[in-house]
Amino acid sequence: MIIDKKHVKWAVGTGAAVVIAISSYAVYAFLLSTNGPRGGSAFGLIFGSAATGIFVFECLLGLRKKYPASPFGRAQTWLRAHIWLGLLSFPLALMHSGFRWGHGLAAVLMWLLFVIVVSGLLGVALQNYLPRRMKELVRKETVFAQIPLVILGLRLEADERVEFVTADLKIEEGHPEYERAGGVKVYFDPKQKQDNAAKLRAVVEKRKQSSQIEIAPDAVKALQSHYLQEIRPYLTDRPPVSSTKLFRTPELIAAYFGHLGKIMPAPAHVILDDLEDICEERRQLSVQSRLHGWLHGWLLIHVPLSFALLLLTAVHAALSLRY
Amino acid sequence: MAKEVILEAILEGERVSAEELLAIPGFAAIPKERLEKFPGAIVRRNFDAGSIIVRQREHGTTCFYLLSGTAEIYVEGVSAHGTPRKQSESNRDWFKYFERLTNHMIGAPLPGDSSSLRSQPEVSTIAKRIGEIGPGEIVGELEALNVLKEQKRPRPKFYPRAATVRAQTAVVVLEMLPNYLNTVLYSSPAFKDTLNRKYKRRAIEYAIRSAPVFRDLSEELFDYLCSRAELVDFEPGQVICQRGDEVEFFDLVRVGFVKLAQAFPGGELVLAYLSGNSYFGEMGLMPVLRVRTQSEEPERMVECLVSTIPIGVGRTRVSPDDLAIPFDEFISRGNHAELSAVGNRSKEGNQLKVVLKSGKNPIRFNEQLVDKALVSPGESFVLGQTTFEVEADPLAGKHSATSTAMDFVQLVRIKAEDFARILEDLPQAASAIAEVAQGRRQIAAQLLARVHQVSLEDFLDQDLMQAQNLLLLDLDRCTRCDECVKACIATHPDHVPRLMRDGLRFQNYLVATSCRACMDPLCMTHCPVGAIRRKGSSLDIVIEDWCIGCCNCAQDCPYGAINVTDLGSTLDPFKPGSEGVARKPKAVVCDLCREYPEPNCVRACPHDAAIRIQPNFFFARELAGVPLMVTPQPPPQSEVRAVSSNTKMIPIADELLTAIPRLEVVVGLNDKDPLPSPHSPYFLLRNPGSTSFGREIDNDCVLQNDTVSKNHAIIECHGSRYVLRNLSESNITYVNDQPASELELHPGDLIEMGLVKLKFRLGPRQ
Repeated sequence: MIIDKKHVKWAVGTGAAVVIAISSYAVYAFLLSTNGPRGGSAFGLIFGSAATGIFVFECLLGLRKKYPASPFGRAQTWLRAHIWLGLLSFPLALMHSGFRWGHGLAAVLMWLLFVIVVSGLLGVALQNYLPRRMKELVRKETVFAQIPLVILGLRLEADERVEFVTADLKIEEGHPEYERAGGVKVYFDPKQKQDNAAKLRAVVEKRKQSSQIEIAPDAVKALQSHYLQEIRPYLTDRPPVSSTKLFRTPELIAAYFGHLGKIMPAPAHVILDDLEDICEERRQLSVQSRLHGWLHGWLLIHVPLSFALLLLTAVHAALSLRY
Repeated sequence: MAKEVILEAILEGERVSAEELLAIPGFAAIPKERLEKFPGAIVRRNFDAGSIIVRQREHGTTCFYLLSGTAEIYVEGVSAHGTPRKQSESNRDWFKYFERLTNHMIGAPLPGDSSSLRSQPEVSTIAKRIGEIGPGEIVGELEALNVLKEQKRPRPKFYPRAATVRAQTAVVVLEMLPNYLNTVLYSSPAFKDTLNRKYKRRAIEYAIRSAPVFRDLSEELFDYLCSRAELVDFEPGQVICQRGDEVEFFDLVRVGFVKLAQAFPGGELVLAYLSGNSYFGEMGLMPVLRVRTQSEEPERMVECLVSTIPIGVGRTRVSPDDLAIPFDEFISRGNHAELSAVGNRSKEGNQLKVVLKSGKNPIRFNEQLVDKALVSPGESFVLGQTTFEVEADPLAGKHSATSTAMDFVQLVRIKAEDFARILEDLPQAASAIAEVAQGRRQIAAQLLARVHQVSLEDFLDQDLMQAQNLLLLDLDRCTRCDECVKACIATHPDHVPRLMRDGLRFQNYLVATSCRACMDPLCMTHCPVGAIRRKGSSLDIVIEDWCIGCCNCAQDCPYGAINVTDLGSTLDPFKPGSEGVARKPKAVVCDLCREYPEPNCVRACPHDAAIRIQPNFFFARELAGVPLMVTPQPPPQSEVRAVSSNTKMIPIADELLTAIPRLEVVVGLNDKDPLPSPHSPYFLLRNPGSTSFGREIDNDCVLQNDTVSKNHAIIECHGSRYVLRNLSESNITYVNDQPASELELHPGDLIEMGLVKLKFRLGPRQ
C-alpha cells in the first residue's frame, strides 16, 4: 500500500497512542510499581490485552478480504489499520513485558512479533516501490497466473515464424487449443470446429512442406541451428542458464539479433525482427515473475508467523494467568 | 442456397419417398421430379402426446407439416402472462433472522431482494396457450422463411423459434429443410398462397401476443388488431423513419434489430437498439406537454414534461417524479395538485389536466377559482402565487429519433388510430407504455447531456470516450494481488469474474477489461432474444436470465468484456416452480454490482489502486490539469431519482440538438495558450448545472490571463435559460459593454472577463 497523505491521520493517531502508552508506562513503572513493571500487573495486563486485541484484528484482515461487500469498512481502511495498529502492537508488547525480552515462550513470542513487524515493514516498502518499477520495466505485462500460457503462445508463434523460412522444424508440440496458421492466431477445439480444423491443417501442412521465404540453404541451416539451440530453449518456462544469460537485457537481445541480421539475408530479416520481439517479451515476463515474487514473497513469512503468534499468545495467556 | 442442389440431407427421422409424399393431399399437385430433388430433406417423425415439437427461443430452421394429430402453440418467456414466482415466506422463522444477519455481515444482498435482477416478475416462465393446429397445417415456417430471406446476404443470421409447439395428441409430422419448403412446396401456387397468408397472419399474431404491453388484450380487440396490422420488411441499413417525421404507426419489432439514434454535431448518439418484442413510436403517439413557471428570477424558473402519468405539484415531493415549488408558501407541502396530459397525439388535441388534491388554495384558471381544469397549450393557470404556462411539445406526434434497420427487420405496424383505441381500452397498457416513454426520454436526455459536457474534438476519436464507465487500475499502486478479481468472483453466485486485470494502458493506468457501458452498445445489436439491454433509465448493460448463450454479444463486444459460460439453467415453462431441466451457456457481463452500494472490485482493493471513472470527466480534467476527481458510482436507483426528481429538467431533445451552448473565444487568453484546447476554440457549457470561469485551476473553464480573477464568473443553466453571475468583487464582468452582476444571456452576447472576450453561442457550430 502506498504511504500517502491518507495515512497522516493514522500516523498521528498511532504516534499519539504510543506517546500515551509510554507516558502511562512511565508513570506505572517509576511511580506505581513497587517491584518493577510486570506483565501480570494490572497495567501489564492492559498492555498485553491491547496488544493481543491488535493481533486478533490483524489476523481478521484475511477474513475481511474474503467478503468484499462486507459493510464493516473498505479494504483500504482495513489495510491502513492493519499497518498502523500492527506497528503499535510492538511497543505495547514491550511495555507489557516491561521492556524485557524474556525467555522461553515469552522470548519466542517477542522474536515472532519482531520478525512479523519487520517483514510487514519490508512488505510496505516493497509495495511502495516495486509496482512502479514493474510498470516501467514490464511494458508487456500480463496476468501472473497466465505467464506459462503466454510463454507457450510465444514459443508456438516463434516456431511458426521460423518455419516460414526453414519449413518443418520437426517439433511435435500437441496443443490443439493453440493451433496457429499463417500468423493468424486461431484458438479452438478441433473436435468442435472440424471444418476450421481441416482448413487450418491444410495451411500448416503447406507451411511445413516447403519454405515460404526463399533464402540460401546455408542461411536456412544457420537460422535453424541458432533457433533450436539458443532461441527456442529460452522460450520455455524454465530456460537454461545459458539462454538466460544470452538474453538477460534488452541490449543483449538487440546485439544478438543484430549479429544474426548481419549473417542472414535480407528476406529473413522480417522473421528476425519478430523473433527479437518475442524474446524481448519473454525477457519481460521473466522480470515480471521476479518482481512478482518480491512483491508477494514476504507474505510467506508474514502470514504463517502471524497465525503462529496468535496461537502462541493464547497459550502464553492461558499459562500465565493460570500459573 | 436455394439454388444449390443438396445431394443428401441428414435429418433425424424416417425418410419419406416421393411416392409417399404424393399420396398426401397437400403434396399432390407437386411434380414428382421436384419431390425427388432433395433426398433426406424431408423426414417423418412421431411425437407422443405432451412432447415438445419445437421450443420457443431455440434455434432451428426446419418447419413441420402435420400429417395427423393436433398440436398446441404456446408463447412464453418475457411475454409470459403468468403470476410471478412467490417471494420467500415470512420472517418469523428464526433461521431466516440468522441468515439475514450473516448476509448483512458479509454484505450479501438480502434474500428475495426486489432489486435483484433475478427476481423480476416479468421473467415468468409460465407459457400461455395461443392456438391449436391440426392435420394439413404447417408450423415453424416463420423461422424457415426468415432463413431464406437472410440467405441473400453474405452473413445470414438465424432467428430463434417464435413459439413452443407441443403435441396435444400423438402427432405425426413431416419435418423439412427451408430450401425444401421454398423450392418444392412453393412451386405449388395454391400452397404458396395459403402459406404466405398464414405466415403473415401468424407473424402478426405471435408478435402481438408476445408483446408484454398487450398482455391484457381482449380477444375481440386482438382479432381487430390482427386484421388491420401490417407486416412490413426493411433491408439492412434502410431508414425506417426520420426524426421529426409524423408518427403514423406504433411499430412492433418482430424480427431483426432497429437502431434508434439522434444526430448531433460530431457524430451520432445511439439511444437504443431494439430487438424482437420491442416497440417504438410510442413517444409520438402519447400526449405530452411542457409546463413551466412564469418568473424572472432564475431560482424560480422550473419546468417539466408532463405525460399521461400524473405527477404531483407541491412545495415538497411526495414521489421522485413530482414537481417541487419550494419557494411558494401558498402551495401546500404535499400534493397540492396533480398534472397529467390528456388528449390525442396531435399538438392541438393535447391538454393538461390539473386536479386539486390536498391543496388548500384552489386553482386559478381563466380568472376563476376551480378544483380542476383542462389547460390547453398557450394557456396558463395559477397555483398558490405561481403561474404555470403550458406549452405544446414540438415533437408531439413526431418521431424523436431516427430509426434504422440494422439487419433484416420485420415490423408489425399498428395504425395510430388503432393504437389510440388500445390506450383507451387498456389503461394499464397505456400506463406501462407511458412509463417506457418517460424512461426513454430520460435516457436520451442523460446521454445527450453527457455528450456535450466534454471537448468533442479531443476525445471522440478515442475508443475510451465511447465508454461511460471504466475500471482503471493505477499501476503505481497496484500490487497485482488480484483482490479485485477475487472480489468479483466472490460477489457473483456463478463465481465467474466479470473483469480481467489486463488491457490497454493509459498513462500510468491500466484500463481493465470489463464492461464499459458504451454509449453505442455494439453488444446489443444482435441479441436474438433481447436479453442484453439497458433497463429503465440506467445506462449499465445487463444480461437477463433468458439469455440463450448464442455468443453474439460476446463476439460483437470489441473489448472482450462479455464471457459466455456454461452455467445457465432452463426452467421448464410447462412445470412451473421446477428447479431446472438443463444447463446451457449464458453470457455474463459486469453489472457494476447493482445490488451493492458500490462495485466490489473497487471496494475490495486494499491499495486504493482500483477506481471507476466516467471518462468524459476524468480525461477532460486530466488534460486540463485539474487534479483527478474520482467520482464514486452512485447506486442506479439514486441516479434515476436524481434525474427524475430534478424539476429543472433537461430540455427536450429537439432543443438540445439544435442548441448546444458554448462560449467562443474571440480575444485570446494569452500568447502561449490562446485557446481552451489545441483543437477547439470553445468552452462548452453544462446543461443542466453551472459552469465556472476563472484563473483558479478548480474552475470548469480555466482562463489563464492575469486580468481575470481567480473565480471570476459563473454561468448557470436553468432549463433553456443561461444566466451569468459575476463572482469577483474587484473585477467586473461586462456583457455587451455593460457591467453585469447577474444577467440572462442571449445568443451573440459578448462577454468580457478582464481582457478575455467570449461570445455566447447557442446553435450548431459555425
